[in-house]
Amino acid sequence: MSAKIVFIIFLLCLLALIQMGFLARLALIGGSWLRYFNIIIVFVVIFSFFERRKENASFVAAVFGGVLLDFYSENFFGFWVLILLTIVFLIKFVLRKYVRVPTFW
Amino acid sequence: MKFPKIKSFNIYFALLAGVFFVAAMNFTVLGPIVKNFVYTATQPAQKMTWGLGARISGGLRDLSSVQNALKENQDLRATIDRLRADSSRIGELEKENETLKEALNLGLDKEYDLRMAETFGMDMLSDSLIIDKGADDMIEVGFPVVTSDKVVVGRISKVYNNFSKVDLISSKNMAFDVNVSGSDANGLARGLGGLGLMLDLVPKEIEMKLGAPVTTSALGGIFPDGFLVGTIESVDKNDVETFQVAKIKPAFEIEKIKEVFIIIGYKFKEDQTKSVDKARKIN
Repeated sequence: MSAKIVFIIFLLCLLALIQMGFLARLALIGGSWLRYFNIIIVFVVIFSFFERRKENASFVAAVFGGVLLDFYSENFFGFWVLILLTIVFLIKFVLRKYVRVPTFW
Repeated sequence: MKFPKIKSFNIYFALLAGVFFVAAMNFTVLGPIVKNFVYTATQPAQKMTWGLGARISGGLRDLSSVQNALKENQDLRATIDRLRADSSRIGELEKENETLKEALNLGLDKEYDLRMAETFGMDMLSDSLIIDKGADDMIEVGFPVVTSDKVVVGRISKVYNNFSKVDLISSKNMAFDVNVSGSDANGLARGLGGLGLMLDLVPKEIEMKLGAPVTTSALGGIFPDGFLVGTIESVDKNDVETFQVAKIKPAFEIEKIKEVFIIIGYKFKEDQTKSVDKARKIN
């Protein structure tokens, strides 16, 4: 579990660099939709969907991803942490309570 | 749904530490110090990804213009022929220009005290750039940011020790006085976000031509006079509204900006007015 969390943190750092540098440049020619595309949010959402139901590493990903977004954001610190934690909590709640799909979960 | 009871003391401790950390980041000097450290630590890697993004976006832009290449080729050939005819005159004009510049001691570096800075990051959601100059380089909030071609880019909005954030003129936080060349129009340029800019508060009886250059006015004290903002893209005259509005195409090409210049010492006049009033009260 701890190795998984270290890997997630490392991956989020890499995605933050890509988001603020590479994707920000591409967004200038990609049209308005690409300006609102944030790879960290997409990663956290997808990760929380595909994580095993009883595991909670997605909450760690939400906190760390939110911290990274807050460093580069104009909003108050903690804004993106709250947003991402709320999103992950809602996804986990729906998946645990209402979804019964016999897949890798 | 029953919420599970958190029995682990570690989780309570982590939550409390998190709350204290967030409060310290927002309300104490820890926030700017930590952000400055993060920007310093990530600057080399971020410059690399920024440069890579610039090269790839340039290539993609070239690919997308293949369809118009033939027509553009024909137009350019006609332009080349015309320019060849004019080229003999250009040499004389250049010499005259240099002589006049020397005589009048003009030039951006002679008019203003400038600091050159490099961009290495951008926040698309808030239309802001990150540059590699900060408080250690005498940068302060409110200083205008321009290019070497006298095109206005934005204004310093936040300063850290070694970095600063620049609000672009298209940011929703920006509103400044402008003139429209070729007419007596003075108006207010407002940022719309998403690299959009509009011109407002222009009386309806004033005629604005499409493509007319828009320059900064020193009236508001935000930017010095005469810097290019953009060109008029479209005009909207509404019978119901008192003023006409226009869309401005910004002159700065954000995808090409690598170096910018900060005008040191030129600050929003409101600060100067307040400091004068304060000095009067003390005396």
